[in-house]
This record gives sequence, C-alpha cells and structure tokens, in this order.
Amino acid sequence: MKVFNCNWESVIDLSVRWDDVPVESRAFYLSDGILSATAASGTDAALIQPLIDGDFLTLSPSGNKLEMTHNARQFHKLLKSLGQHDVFAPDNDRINRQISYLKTFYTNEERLNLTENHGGYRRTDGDLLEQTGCARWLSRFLTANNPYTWNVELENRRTQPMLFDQEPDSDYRHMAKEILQELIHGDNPVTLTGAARHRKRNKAAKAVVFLLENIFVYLSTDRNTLKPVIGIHPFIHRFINAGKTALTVSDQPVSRCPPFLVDDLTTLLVGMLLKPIPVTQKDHEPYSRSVEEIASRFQAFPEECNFMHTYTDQDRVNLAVGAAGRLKLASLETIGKKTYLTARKKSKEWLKLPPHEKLEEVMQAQRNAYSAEKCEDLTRSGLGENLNWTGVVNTVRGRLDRNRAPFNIKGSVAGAFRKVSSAGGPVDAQEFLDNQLFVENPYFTLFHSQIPFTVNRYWFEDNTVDYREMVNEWYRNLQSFIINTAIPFGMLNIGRVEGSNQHVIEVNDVGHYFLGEKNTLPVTEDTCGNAIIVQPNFEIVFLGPDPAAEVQIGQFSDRLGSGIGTLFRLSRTSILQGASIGLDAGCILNTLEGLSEKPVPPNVKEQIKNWSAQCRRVTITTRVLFICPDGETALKVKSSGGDKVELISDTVVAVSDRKFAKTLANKLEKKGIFRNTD
Amino acid sequence: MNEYNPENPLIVQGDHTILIEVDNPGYIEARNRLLRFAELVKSPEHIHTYRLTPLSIWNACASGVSVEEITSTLTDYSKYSVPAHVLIEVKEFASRYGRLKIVRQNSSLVLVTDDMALAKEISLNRQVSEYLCEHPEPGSFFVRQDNRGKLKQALVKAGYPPEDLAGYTTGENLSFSFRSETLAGLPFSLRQYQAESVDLFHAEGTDRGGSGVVVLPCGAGKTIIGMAVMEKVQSSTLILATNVTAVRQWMAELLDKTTLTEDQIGEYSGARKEIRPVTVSTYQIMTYRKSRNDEFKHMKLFDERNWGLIIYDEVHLLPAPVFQATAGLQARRRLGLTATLVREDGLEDDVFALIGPKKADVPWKELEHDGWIAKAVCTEILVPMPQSLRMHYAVSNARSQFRIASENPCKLPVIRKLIAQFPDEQILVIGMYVSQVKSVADDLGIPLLTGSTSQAKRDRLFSDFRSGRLRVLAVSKVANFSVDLPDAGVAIQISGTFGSRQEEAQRLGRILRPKAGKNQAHFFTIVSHDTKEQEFAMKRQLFLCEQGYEYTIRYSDESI
Repeated sequence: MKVFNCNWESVIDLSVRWDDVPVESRAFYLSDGILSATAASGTDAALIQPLIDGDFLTLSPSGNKLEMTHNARQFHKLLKSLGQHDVFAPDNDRINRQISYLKTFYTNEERLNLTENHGGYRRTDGDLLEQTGCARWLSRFLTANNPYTWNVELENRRTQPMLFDQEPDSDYRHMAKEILQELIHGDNPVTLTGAARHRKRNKAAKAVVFLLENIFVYLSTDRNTLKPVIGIHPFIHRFINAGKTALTVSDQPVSRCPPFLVDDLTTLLVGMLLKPIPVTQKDHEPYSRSVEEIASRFQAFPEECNFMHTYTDQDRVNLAVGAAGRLKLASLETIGKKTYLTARKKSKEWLKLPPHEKLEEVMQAQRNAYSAEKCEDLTRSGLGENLNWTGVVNTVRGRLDRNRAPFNIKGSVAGAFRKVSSAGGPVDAQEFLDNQLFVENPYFTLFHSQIPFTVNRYWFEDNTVDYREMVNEWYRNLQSFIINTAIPFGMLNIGRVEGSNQHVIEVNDVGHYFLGEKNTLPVTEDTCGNAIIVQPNFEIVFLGPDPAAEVQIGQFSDRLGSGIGTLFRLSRTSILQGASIGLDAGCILNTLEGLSEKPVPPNVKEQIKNWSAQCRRVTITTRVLFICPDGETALKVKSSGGDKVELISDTVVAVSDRKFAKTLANKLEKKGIFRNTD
Repeated sequence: MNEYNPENPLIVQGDHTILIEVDNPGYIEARNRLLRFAELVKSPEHIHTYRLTPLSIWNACASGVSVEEITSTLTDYSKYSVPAHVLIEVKEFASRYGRLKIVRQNSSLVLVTDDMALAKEISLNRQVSEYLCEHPEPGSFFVRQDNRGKLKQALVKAGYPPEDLAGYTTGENLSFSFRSETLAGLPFSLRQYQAESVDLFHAEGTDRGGSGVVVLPCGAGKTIIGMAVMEKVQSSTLILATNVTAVRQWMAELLDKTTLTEDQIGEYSGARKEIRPVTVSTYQIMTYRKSRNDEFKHMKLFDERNWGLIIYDEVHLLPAPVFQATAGLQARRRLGLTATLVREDGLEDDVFALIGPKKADVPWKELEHDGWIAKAVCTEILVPMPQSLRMHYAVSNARSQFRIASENPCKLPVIRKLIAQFPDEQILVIGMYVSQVKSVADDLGIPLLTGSTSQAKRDRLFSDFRSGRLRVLAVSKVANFSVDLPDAGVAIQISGTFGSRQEEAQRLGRILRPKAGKNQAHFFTIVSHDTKEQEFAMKRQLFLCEQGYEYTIRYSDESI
C-alpha cells in the first residue's frame, strides 16, 4: 500500500476492510495493473503477498516489477530504539523464505552498509527475520510496563511461534482505526498501555501490531520512564495538518518593539572606548560587576513592552557583546595579565552613523544567514543520486557548521516567520509556535529524507531519532529567533492579550526587511543633532542622544547618566583626567564649543583654563649622583666626565648612564677621588 | 527609541526629574504649569531641573490642580514620550491625596474615608492607629483634638496625606488695616503677586484655606504678605522669627504700614517678655531650656492667648521642638513664609503636615523681570598670591592654607578698585576673619561691624547706612549671620566659607531689593588664584549658578 500517496482517512478505512478485498483488488490498490511476479519467479504469490501487505514491496513505476519500498529499508531503523534483542522462532521456514526473497531486492552496497551500520560485523539473515518479525512480538509490550517485565516476556516469547501472517481478525482492524484516530486527534506519542486504554489487551495488541506493520505509527522508548511509546510519524502529521497552517489574525492592539540591541550596543561601545571591559580568562565574559555597570547605562524598556522585562541585564549585555563581535567592532586584548574587551577604531565611525544605518549594519551580519538562498538541499537528489550511502553521510557531515546546527534551520526559521509576516495582522504567538512544530518542522525532513541513520545521530545528542526531540529542537529554534533576534532588532510589534500572559506578534517593516520582503530598511527620524548644552553649573545636558559626542566628552568629564538628559559634569578631577591623556584646555574647549548648541559659559571656560593650568608635567629619570665635598671636587668630576655628566649644583654632579658612572668612578680613583663607603 | 517633538521644552526622565529648556519658545508657558506640581531643583542658565515628588504632587492637589492637568502638562510639553511609569506614579501619588479627610462632626474631630480598604489599612498601621479611636460608622474614626497634628504627620509618612477640613478656632478679634501711606509718607499698597499669594492662602476664609506655606525669593516682601494675611484674618497673631533683629524689623514694619499701635505689638525675646495681641518672638527663645532635661519653658507662649493666626517666618529654619509644639496647634491658622521649602534636615514632610501645603510659589525670575527684585550679577575676581607667601602657603596644612589664601594682602587694591567703581552704590564688605576685615576697614577708613559690636552701635550704623550717610560698611561673617543685613547695591566678599545654602541665598537676597535705575545688584567674591580658597569658591559658583545667577570670573588685572 502506498500509504503516503493516499488520502489518509480512506487508507484507514481500507485497512479495516482489507480482509474483504479480493486479492486481485488488493493488487489494484497496489498498482494500476496486475501484480507481476516476474522479479520473483518461482516465488508464489502467497509468500509475496504479506510483504506487499506490509509495504515491504511495491510495484515499480513501470508497473512491471516489484521493488523494495523505502520503508522496508527504513524498517530496521524504526525498531532500532528497542535495542538489541534475541528473537527465535522455532518454525520460521516460511518467514525465512520471505526474508530471502526480500533480500534479493537489496543491492550489494546496501547490504554492506547494513553491515557497517550494525557495528562492522555481519549479522545473520536472522537479523532481517527479527526486524520483519519484530512487529509481532512487540505486542508483548502492551503487557510489559517496565523493561524487567519485558525481558521476562521475551523469554516467554521464545517458546511461541512467530505468527507473521496470522489470519486477521476484523475486530482488531477496527480497533486499529480507532487507535490511529485517537493518536491523530489527541495526545501523541502515547504509551502502549495508553493506546490500549479500556480495550481488551490482546485485541489492542493486535491492533498496534497492525499499525506498526503498516508503518502508520512508529515505536520508540520514553527516555525518562523507559516505557515503550507509539506515535504518529511526523510526516503523517504534516499530511494531516496541512490545512492547519493558516494563522488566526487577532485584533489585539500591538506596540512596536524598540530595537534595543542597537542602543545597547551603542552604550556598550561608548563605554568600551572610554574604558576597556575586563573579562574572565576562561570564557571571556564580562565580570558581573562590569555587567551591572554597563547595564546601568542601558535605557529602560518602554512600559508598554512589559514582556521585555524577561531580559535580564546579563541577557542584554550578552546580546550587545555578541553583536559587537559579529560586526567586528570589539575585540579581546590582553593587557598585562588580564584580558579586556576593547572597542576597535572602526567603532568610532559606527557610532557616528544615524540610527537606521546602525540597525542596518547590525542586521546585515545576521540577515544573510537567514536568507532562503542559503538553503541546503540534503535530500538524495540534492546531494547527488549517484552517491552511495557512505558518500551521503560524508557529504552531509562536511556541510554541517561547527555548531552542528542542522542544515537550513535558519532558512526554515525565516520561512516560518514569513507566515507571520503574511498573516495580515497580529497572530497569537503560541498558536504560531504550535503550528510550526508539526507542520513546518524541518527536522522532520531529516527523518523523511534518505539520510542514513548515522547522520541523524550526529545531530542529536542521543542516538535516537526521537520525535519529541525534533519537536523540542524546532521549538527552541523558533523561540530563540524571537528572543535573540526578532525582538532585539525591533522586528516585531507585540501586544498582550488582556487578562492573560499570552502575546500576539506582528512583523513590522523592520521585520519585513530582515526577511527579505522589503529592499530597504525604513529610515527612523533622527533625534536632534547638536542638542548639547554646557551649563554654567558645569553640567552637560544632552537634549538628544549623540553617542559619538558622549565618547568625546566622556574623556574629560564625569558621567552622570546616559542617553538623554544631564549626562556629564565637568570637575577638576575630570579635567585633570583629560590632561592625563593629553587633552589641554584648548582641546577641551574646542570640543565643547564644537558640540554645544550654546556658547560655553564664560565661568566654565575660565574654570577649565584654571584647572588645566594647574597641571604640570615632570620628567622622571634615574641618575647617578656624585655628591662632592666642595665645588673644586665637583669641577674635577665634571671635567673627567666631559659631556656625559652634568653639574646640577655647586657640589653635585649627575650622570644618566649607569655604566659610564662606574667607568667615571674608576677613573676618578686614579685621580685620588674615591667613593664614600659609608 | 521614542517619538521626538523638538519644539517642546521638557524632557521627563524616569527618575522623576524634568529638564526644561529655557530658550525654547514654549518655556514660560510650560514653566508656569510645571511650577504648580514640581519642585525647582536648580536653574542654571539654559536648562532648569525640576523634580516630581509625592509632596510636590500633594501640594498641587491641595491647591486644586487635577491629575489630568499634571499628566497633560507632562505629555503636551515633553520632547520625548513620557516614561509610562512616571505617569502611573503621578496618578498614584495624586490619588492618595484627599482620600482621607479630617472633618468636624459636632464638636468632635473625625477622620473619614469612603474607601473601606484604606480604612482597614490605616487602622492596621501602627504609627497611625495609635491616634484613632473607634467610630460607629464604617470608614470613620474619632480623633482627639490634641492628636490632630500628629495624626496628619503619621498619615503623610504612611503616604496618605489627609485633607484637613476641620476648620480653625476664630481667635481673639483684632481689627486693623493697612495704611495707604507709610509713616514716612511713602505710598503703600500690595503688589499684585503679594495680593494673589494672600488670596490663595486665605481662600476667602473657608476651611480650605488658612494653613500653608508661601514661597517667595529673598527681597520679594514676605513680611508684607504676612501682614496682609493678618489683615485678612483680623485676629490675634503670634509671629515667630529667626532672631531679635528680625523681630524688631517685623514690629517696625507693622507700625510703619498698618494701623496697629505700639501697645498692640509686643516683643517676646530674651530682653522683653511682652505678650500682646500681636506678639513677635524668636525660635531661639521658644526652644530655650536650661539643660537637656528641662522643659522648654517659653513654649507655653503658644497657649498664652487665643491666637487666631501663627506666622512662622523663614519656616525652612523651624526647629524640631517647635514642630512638635505645632502639632498641637492645628486648630489655629498657620502661615509659613520662606524662600525655599528645602530643609537641610529633610523635614519637608512635617512642614506639609503641620504647617500646611504650599499655597503660593512665585518664580523669582518673574519678579526680576517685573522689576520687583534686582538682577544680580555675581563676579569672582581672582588675585594672585604674592611670591613671598607662596612658599609659606605650600608648606602649611590645609586649614592654614585656606586662611593664608583668604587673608591675601593682594586683595586690598581690588577692594579699593571696586569701591571706586561704584561711587553711587551702597557697598558692604564682608569677611570671615575679623582681623582681616578690621585691617581692611582700617586701611579704607570705613566703619566695622562685628559680633562684638553693641546693639546700639549696630542700629546706628545700619541707620546711617540705610539713609545714605554711610556708603561703605565692613561686616564680619559672624555679624552677618546674626543681624539683618541692610539693603545694598554691591556686596564684596573678601573671605568666607560656603555655609548652608539658605544662608548663602539669604546673604545674596540682601542685595536683591529693587533699585532705581538699572535695578542691578553686584555680588563680588575676591579669591586667591590657584589656592584652597578657590576650591571653596567653586562650590559657591555652583550654588549661585544653580540658583540662576549669572556668574563670571575675572582676573584682578582685568577691568571689572
């Protein structure tokens, strides 16, 4: 049965009625023509039929021969999570023949690969036996609530025949349909006992076996409880939920998220330009006291954006530091024994940019990664039809980034958000996330595509292709995009549903630009340029934000605030600090006069000049002094030393060069002038 | 991050400070609205700073400003979006005023509220509940008469300032009126801002008026306002002033400008103990006691007569014991007069609770603009230290360094130059060190007034100075604190510490009385350049700039 090409409901109906369908009609469902046994000459239809029934074999596109289905090749993977088990059937002749027949469909490479996948040793034909027969004995799980009982059951099972083609009981097929519908519309995955519910255990077991055999469901083990669980395959979910992709537009009012990352980055760089930030040796993260100090200068979030209060100071600093790194505006520098985060020279130029250009630069560093053009095609056709499985694995591994992020995730994230973008209004954020989990989850394509199991293992910590892992991983990707990219960049308008903690989101023009739906970023109004005023009380007020000016003024004034308002105060200490880095009164006054909207008050000018005038520079050198008892001796020393000595007073001679001083002392001894030993 | 309206003059910050751009066309309108509910913190030239506090909001509510008016002022005049939490907190502060009312039911005082939850809350507040007694009606509490003030204090501290509508005792009747001419024959009438302030305080005699504070800059005529309130109330009055000279000034003014006679006005001080329908006393005598454990024996003055009005002059200097006594005077009308509500001890809440809310606050720039006070220009003149003193200065300790710099002999020529520069002005030369001031006085041949000068000589010198017979007078800093400095057009400070802000403002206020002609006053400070004295001068510079005075720095060799 080509279950994936059929209407699902009719498939279920068909499975219930299967017994009533004549063989010829069954063949009809399998192919357009008559079942051909050409490829299985000598093998009777009775042997083949169960393999067809179980979707291990199918008609080729030409309709002339049977082919092994994709699922047959995948079947051993589906059951891999059960671990190693020993299954022996006393009477397995017919099954063996079935298996032998099935094996003829494997290519040599596939056989080799199967061998490799099993750890490098060649397993017996019994492997296929156990794999194809697994579904039968899995019914034991319905009565096994824990692995210990399961083991006992296994022992019991050895004494029982492997009944692969047991006569169907129509009741259990009906039950299978019910169970399947419950899985589709209710919880998924569920434990086997949960699937059985109130039903008679034996019949429920048969029903589940049927579902497993027909690949309607998969079997896995709950990592926490170790209980076996069954669930709908993700692609089945997509098939079922295909109609549920539309998002409900809400009329909840929304407000614009400010692109706080740009402002935070600006504040961070301004601070770094004035004083590098010490970071830990191990992780190169700012110390907590630095985080506090930096965050104290961040602007508060608007009150209407109440959800943003989940961002801690650490979060904001991390985001800003990350952005600084991506834009190469900051770097790590070792000064002495400590490591610091320092602003690069290009950050000064970045600070001068108008707000929308700053945002554009910050976004561009990430925008490309989310571009759809970067989508990796890791399907068989995308990788190359002629690649063998080993080649596929190696190629895929080579394309993984160093964070082992799965392929195309960022492109998929962007694709998912385009749905929000095209919704035409705000949508419930949780509804969006829930929809995406099943419908658009790109991890499901891993499961569905012809990627060997080892590649899946490479991406996930546990060696299982766990359905819920894929769901959770995708949820994390989407959530991370919202929290670490969309909101900080100001790409969303967000509102809160009254009386609840739910939020609605809407992609705004900035978001449209990020997603590639618009070519240019909207230009935000610049808040006033030179709106800086130097007050007679030595305070410097910013009537509008001007980070570049903050950096300049911060070099010679004490900081009181950031952003807007009374930001700085000139004091004697701060002017001396400016002097220490080479800024004299002229420099400082030029800077202030250049930046200030009003003339610098005369008392401020005078005071700056006064304070600067108090600065002196001294030269500190090391010299050897010859302290002589009298002027005559000093002159003798001077004449012996020539140009290399200096008479600094009547009786004191100074020598800069230590070596020469020693030479001179020795020379003077010959003249009867000895050094004092006291 | 916010919407930007460059034409607006305000920036409202998240810490409740408000910056206002003076050169903005909308400044005056915005300032006039802002003054009603925000406190002026500092006013240097271009950007003034105001602050919203619970007290400033409550004062606004008490004078009838609605919360909508406050929030609309902020949003209408702000350059940027007002932080939402500021608006929320303004509403919260405002909502607390008047939810509790003190009313009179028959002859009992009752605290009432419509908010049962609030009633429950305050009944559980230990500091408040001790002043409450059970009342049959829910949301009501009986209050003992003598606890009226303490209850108000406790409620203000709890964040729920009550509206006191319990009314006042009438007091002894005292009929008098203003003269149309002073005793000296000069025409006299109230200035408009004075009349407005009085009306705001008196509120036509209703219970909504009768207690509160009027804030006016130095030299603007607070004494006149006090007298005008007395004239409205027409009741016996107790006036408390800062010192004896201030007491006598009050008395002189009352005699000069009203129909009150000498036998109706009494002085209650160390020298005299006259209790008359109008009695003027000092805080000092009220808080006098022989030792710490003794009682304040003059505090009973509050109960000596059935006062209808109590005036607290310079209420920002009200000592704590007087506050305590005032707590028991809530049934009497109370007027506080001051140039600033800011107290060094931070007891503004008690002023609000026990004296009353701010009723009027006239911006001094407005008064200056209208010519009611003189414009002051402050100039710092830097003189060099002579070489002979430099080494001595360098090797001395900090305290000595200050004195050496202060007593720099190079200041004397500058003083002479300044005196010569203002031949038509009354000039005060003020110094901290008596020896220095004496030396200067001797060199210049001018009279000297110190702390040890007798009252009689002091009065004579002031009288000669006021009449113009004496043009230049030297005063020591100690004397300056304890006497009423007469009005002058020029003050030259040759040495001095910063002192408290109020004292500095008060000293400066003495030269702000309106003058004929340019109506400009000059305040010079002579400071030794590149010394410790200059560091202290910096503080003065900051203070004066923040008060809005123009401040320049000159060198002694420049023309001034």
